[in-house]
Amino acid sequence: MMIWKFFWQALFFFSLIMFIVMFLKFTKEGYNDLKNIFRDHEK
Amino acid sequence: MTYIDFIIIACYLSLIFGVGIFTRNYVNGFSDFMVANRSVSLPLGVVTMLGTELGLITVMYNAQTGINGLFSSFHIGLAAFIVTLLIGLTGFVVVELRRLKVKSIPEYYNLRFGPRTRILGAVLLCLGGILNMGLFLKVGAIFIQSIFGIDSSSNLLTIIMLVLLILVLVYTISGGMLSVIVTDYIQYVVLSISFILCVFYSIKTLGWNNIFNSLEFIMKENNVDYNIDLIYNPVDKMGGAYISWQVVLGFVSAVIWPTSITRVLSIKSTSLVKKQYLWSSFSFLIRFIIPCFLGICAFVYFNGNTGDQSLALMPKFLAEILPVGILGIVVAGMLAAFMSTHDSYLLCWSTIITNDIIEPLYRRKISSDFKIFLTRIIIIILGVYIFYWGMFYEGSDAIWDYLGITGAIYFTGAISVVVLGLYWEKASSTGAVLSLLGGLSSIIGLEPVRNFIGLSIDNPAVIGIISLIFSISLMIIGSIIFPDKAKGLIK
Repeated sequence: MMIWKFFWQALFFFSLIMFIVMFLKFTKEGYNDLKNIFRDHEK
Repeated sequence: MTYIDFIIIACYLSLIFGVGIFTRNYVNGFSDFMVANRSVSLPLGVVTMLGTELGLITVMYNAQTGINGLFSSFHIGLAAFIVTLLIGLTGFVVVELRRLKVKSIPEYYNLRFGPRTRILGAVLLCLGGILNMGLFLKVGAIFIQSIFGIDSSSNLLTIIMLVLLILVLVYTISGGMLSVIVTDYIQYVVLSISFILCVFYSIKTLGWNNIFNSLEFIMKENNVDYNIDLIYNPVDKMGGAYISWQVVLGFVSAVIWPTSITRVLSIKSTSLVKKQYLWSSFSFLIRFIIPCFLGICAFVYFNGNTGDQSLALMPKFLAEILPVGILGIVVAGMLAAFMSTHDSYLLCWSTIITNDIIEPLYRRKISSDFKIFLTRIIIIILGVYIFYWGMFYEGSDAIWDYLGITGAIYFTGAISVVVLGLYWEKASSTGAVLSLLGGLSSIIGLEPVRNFIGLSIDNPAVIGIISLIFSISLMIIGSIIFPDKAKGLIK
């Protein structure tokens, strides 16, 4: 039981950290890419 | 909920509505409408995939899965993560599909097996997919009802759902895929902030160690003979068949399900496909683990008193623990999630009906403008259907099981047709047709159908697995007995 319990706890924190990393990375890069898409369409 | 929360929600909905109208000017043709002219970069590909897959429906059914299966249900996210990671590392199926430059899975059927398989595949895909999204509005309604404290018999609930549906229809019809990508991006940002806040306040309210201690105490208090191991151990709690089914669903969610594969087909280049899947593997993990965790927190908060309202428990919990303003952001985020799933699904099914059923049956090239017009009409018809089905369907299966089984009508057949079609040269069009038809057998897993034919089974996953094996067998046997004269239309 303890192995599963600690494994799920570790997995939860891993998910949360990855979520925050992805949020910071892709929010910024995605915004720049969206601007590029609209600029290309206007051209 | 206070007026500050309502202002935040109203501002957000206005923003989304405005974006839908704005992107209308940027649609130049059907390819723009369906796959954004394959101009999607890696960051946007990952963001929009998460924006679509992490919908309100996902949050709600995963919270329900967390309440029913407790921490052992985390294995569903783990299975999806591992499967998607392996696909990202190997490029299995997805790289080949992107290389073929098709706009949809049925278009691939056409290349590999001919128009007969394309039309049948598209019809089954739409049947499974449209049934699948039939409960979305109902689940959304339960969320709104629980978080706003609206009486379930009130007409106000119906009016709110109708307004939300009209909002989604308007901006999906207006901008197509480009509109979906822009709104998915905004919704991703709002939903991410909401999720982080929900997790923070859940842990702050309950206490990290207390979540586990209370859960063990509640389960023992309700049943002194309860084995605490069942809270955490998925093998003991769910059984091998259920876990195997989750691995299949993980593969399907990442590779076979049209709303996911559309993102791959929209991405700029073949070289980015693997990277997209590597990042998306974390998305598939997150979309299960965090809502499951919120469901478990709700279960602990209400001392395990779920009654018959396991779906409503998580929104009720959030309404009680979140402070003023934060609740408005979270509800806006959840409504964002509700709409991002709807827009992607509506666009996906409607474009497939136009591109892979109507046009091949018409046997002539339909102009890009008329295709867009047809797609918009179909989006409205689908909107009417989901409103009707969501309000009147009476099954009581867990939402995750309902989605798995309705989706299986399409994907149990599609798995063998796509995978064997790509990697087995002898796969024939007759085998493909038989396999697709074999997938229909999974409809037996739906509760009203099971009741109608008098089939008593506790675990619909068993029916899904049997149906999958049946379809693969039909594909192999059909291909061996009825081989195609011209082997492998594509190489």
